[in-house]
Amino acid sequence: MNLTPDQIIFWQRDIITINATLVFTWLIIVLLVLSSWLVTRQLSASTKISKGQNLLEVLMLGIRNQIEEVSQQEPEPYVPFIGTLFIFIAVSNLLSIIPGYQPPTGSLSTTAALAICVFFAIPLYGIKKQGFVGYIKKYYIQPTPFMLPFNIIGRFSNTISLAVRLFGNVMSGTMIVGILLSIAPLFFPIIMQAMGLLTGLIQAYIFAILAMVFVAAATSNT
Amino acid sequence: MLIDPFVVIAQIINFLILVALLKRFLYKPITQAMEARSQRIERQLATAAAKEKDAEAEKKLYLQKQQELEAQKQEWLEQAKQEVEREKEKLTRQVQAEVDRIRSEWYEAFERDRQKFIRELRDRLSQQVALTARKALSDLATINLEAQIIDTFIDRLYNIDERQTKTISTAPIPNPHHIITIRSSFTISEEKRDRLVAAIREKIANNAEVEFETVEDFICGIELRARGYKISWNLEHYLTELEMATVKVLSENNNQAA
Repeated sequence: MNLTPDQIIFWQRDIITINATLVFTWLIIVLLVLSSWLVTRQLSASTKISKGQNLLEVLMLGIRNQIEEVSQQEPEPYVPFIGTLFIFIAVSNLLSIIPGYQPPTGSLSTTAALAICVFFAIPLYGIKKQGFVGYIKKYYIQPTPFMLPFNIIGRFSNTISLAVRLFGNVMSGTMIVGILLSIAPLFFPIIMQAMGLLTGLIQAYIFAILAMVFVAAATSNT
Repeated sequence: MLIDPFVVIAQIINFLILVALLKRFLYKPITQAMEARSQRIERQLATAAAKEKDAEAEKKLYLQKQQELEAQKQEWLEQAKQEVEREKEKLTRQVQAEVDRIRSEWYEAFERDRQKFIRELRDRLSQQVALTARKALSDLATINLEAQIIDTFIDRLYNIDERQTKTISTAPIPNPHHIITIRSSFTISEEKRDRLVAAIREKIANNAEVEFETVEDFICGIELRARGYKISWNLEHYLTELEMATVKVLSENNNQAA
């Protein structure tokens, strides 16, 4: 039994490794882009819209509303980043219902990559919004300059906790199903799979919301 | 090793590519579609609001025009009413005047007819009375009517009261010879003339000269004129009285009929 999909290696040369994490990630990317393209190639501005467009619009509105609620700012600049985080993690977790599928979010490499993206997105958004000095002043030397080391530690620990939380939840979900399959192969794994869908969505939501909270803390004027 | 640096870097790149692709294929088109719809709805709402405003204005205008029309109608009705009233009054006046004119004409014609009838009646009655009286007197007595008239007249002269006698005798004499004229509708015989002269001289003036004159306009009678006074016996008096009585009776009957 593999702890993470990283351990399922399809092809390797030197450090270049093509494992299940990358393959499933690409599959997810293709799936998302294809379905998006299929729906958005014939969008309608009228009051009669297709089911796909309706679904995407509901998703978009939900993301925008959440971002606006958390950040108290115009959601437009954050939608691609935060929205993609949510959609990618959610789809990764939801697809775990398919037998043989290994969620890429079950790999610490993936969650670390996403957390690193958030780690760099925070200063980028912050500096873009408030300028370099403003951002440093607001984010690192508050309430006093003496707090700078702790603030830096805090930023790193935020990132690590994001990565580990998601990895731990998804990996544990997969692990529980694996263990239950060996103990009680009937019914229980199904219940746990259903639970896994729920926790998967919740984890996606938590990851995206936390990312937004960190970004909002760096960009808000108060 | 749980973290593979190559996978981490690859996943970062994957994620960034996914962000870019989703931005291109999902967020942008969906946002644009939503914006377009929102704008379209706003436009439609604005159009609807403008149309509603127009409709409101139209409604206001229509109501105003309706009120104006109503007022105009009332005014016209009032005018027409007044005109009809005026016309009615005018026509009524005209008809009244016409009726009055016709009635007065009718009354005049009636009055003329009545007068004519009365005149004719009087004339005929007079003539009839005269004839009847004459015939009756001639039938009743041996003397004729003229002789009886003269006798009555002579009696009247003798029976004239003192006051009248005094009034006549003190009146100024109109002519130097003091001629007293006896006018009659018939010829008086010599004997009667002498009796008349004697009566006149005894009662009125003893020195008077008496002239006798026969006139046609008397129906039947005799008349004495002296000093502006007149003493007469004439069937005309009776006939006049009879005429007055007849006229009175006719008038009363006429009033009752009216």
